[in-house]
Amino acid sequence: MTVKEYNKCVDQHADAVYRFILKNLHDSERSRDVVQEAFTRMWEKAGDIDGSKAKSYLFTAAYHIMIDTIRKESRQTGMEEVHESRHFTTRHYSDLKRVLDEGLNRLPEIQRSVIMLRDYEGYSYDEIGEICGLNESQVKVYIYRGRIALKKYIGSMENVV
Amino acid sequence: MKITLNNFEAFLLDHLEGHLDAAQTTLLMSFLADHPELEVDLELSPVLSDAGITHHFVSPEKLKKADSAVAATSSFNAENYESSFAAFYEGDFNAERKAALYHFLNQNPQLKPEFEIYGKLRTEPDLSVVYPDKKSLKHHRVIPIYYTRWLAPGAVAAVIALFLLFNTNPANDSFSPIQSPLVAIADQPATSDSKQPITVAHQQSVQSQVVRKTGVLSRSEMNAQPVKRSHEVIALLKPLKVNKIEVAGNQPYKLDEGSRYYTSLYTDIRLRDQIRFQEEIDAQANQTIYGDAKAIADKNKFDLWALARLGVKGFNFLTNSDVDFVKARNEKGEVTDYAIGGDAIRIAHSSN
Repeated sequence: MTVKEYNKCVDQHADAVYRFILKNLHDSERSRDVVQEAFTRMWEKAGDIDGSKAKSYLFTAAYHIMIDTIRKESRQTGMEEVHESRHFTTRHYSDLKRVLDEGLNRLPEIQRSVIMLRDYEGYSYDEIGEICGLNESQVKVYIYRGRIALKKYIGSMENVV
Repeated sequence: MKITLNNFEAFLLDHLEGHLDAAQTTLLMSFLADHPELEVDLELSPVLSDAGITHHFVSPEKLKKADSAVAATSSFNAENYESSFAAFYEGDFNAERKAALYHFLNQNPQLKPEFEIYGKLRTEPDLSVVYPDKKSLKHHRVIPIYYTRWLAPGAVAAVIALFLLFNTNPANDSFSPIQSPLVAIADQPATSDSKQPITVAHQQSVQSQVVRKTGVLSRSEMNAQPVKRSHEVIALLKPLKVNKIEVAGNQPYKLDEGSRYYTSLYTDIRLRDQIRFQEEIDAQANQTIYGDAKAIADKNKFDLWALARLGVKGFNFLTNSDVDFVKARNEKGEVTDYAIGGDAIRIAHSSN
């Protein structure tokens, strides 16, 4: 990977990786740190990375850095707060996109990640598995469960005015 | 202790067994009121399984009722229809499975609205969210240059050599003798800390018979006659038909047609994409570069900074780049800083 390819990768993927991480961490400062660290790792390995695999490398690195961050923090804060937010209630919304967005926020981290990689980035099960360290079947199951949870969050279409 | 989704079942058990005090009971009731989705039936006794507490607070009657409302087919039933709806919209079903699902839906028309909702569960990114400082993530290759009297001009002489390497015109595929207004070859790597002066060869209207070579040139061939070497490289590069060239010099070049490579200054050029047409180069060179070169040559004295500026100019013409060359001087007019750079390269030096 050349300097130019690396810089192009920054232009093309920094926003997407940032959105992906921010959606999981809900903290712009920490998300910036994760993205920066991911790009630093990519730069350090630039000589070994094929330009066509750069995006995948970047998401994988960012995902693992994010998981490490979450683990470190959960050790410090306990899991109570994390679980507390995962409740589903019947609500009324005027905007399906916003409902889904809120539902997505309430999914367990792994379901949220696989669904975002699927929907936002269009990755295949196989690619998502590589990024998240899962096999294809696990990815499928997490995506299905995530969809079912989103569906339950919405309730019925009558709730979306 | 705070009641959460993680521990509320334990509180419930304590409540049912009468172990909660009034304050804890109030907390629990308040928690349950905040979470109606749990559908906790306080009238029911919890069922303990071998594995511990299971999903026992949801009324079995409700579950039974829900199950009986779905007519099972050979493939789908109340247990799996939701994940099947999800799988359908993920594109995981073949024609046969799709047909089976449609049949199931016909058997259970009350599920069609739910099925349709699954088709609308695609999440979308918020494109207004962008990484705030992409520039900080970018890199420019920085090559430190240790200042010696000769090495700064040496570096720029290498740029000139680069320019001239490409700018001589082998008229056509027959490779007639070429005209070179000026040739400058740096014999030391630009980044070394050598105290030795850079050798600069200056020739006007040099004529050399160019011998066409294809394939890989050995290092010994390339080292044999350094000045002729440039012409051979030119001859090989200009037609852009050679598959592979390897040139050994102070810092070897490895050139593959159509691919990226680095010169001794790590300036990358994509042969096919960026090197401009020879005719265009010639026309512009005749208008501008040659005149500048002649002016330098007419002085009978080298101003290496002027040569450097000329080299950069030629390089920009040749590769359609925007490499800039800037100098900063102190009050006495001495050069204190200089930089050569563009998108992919930046060489900077400060004498401070």
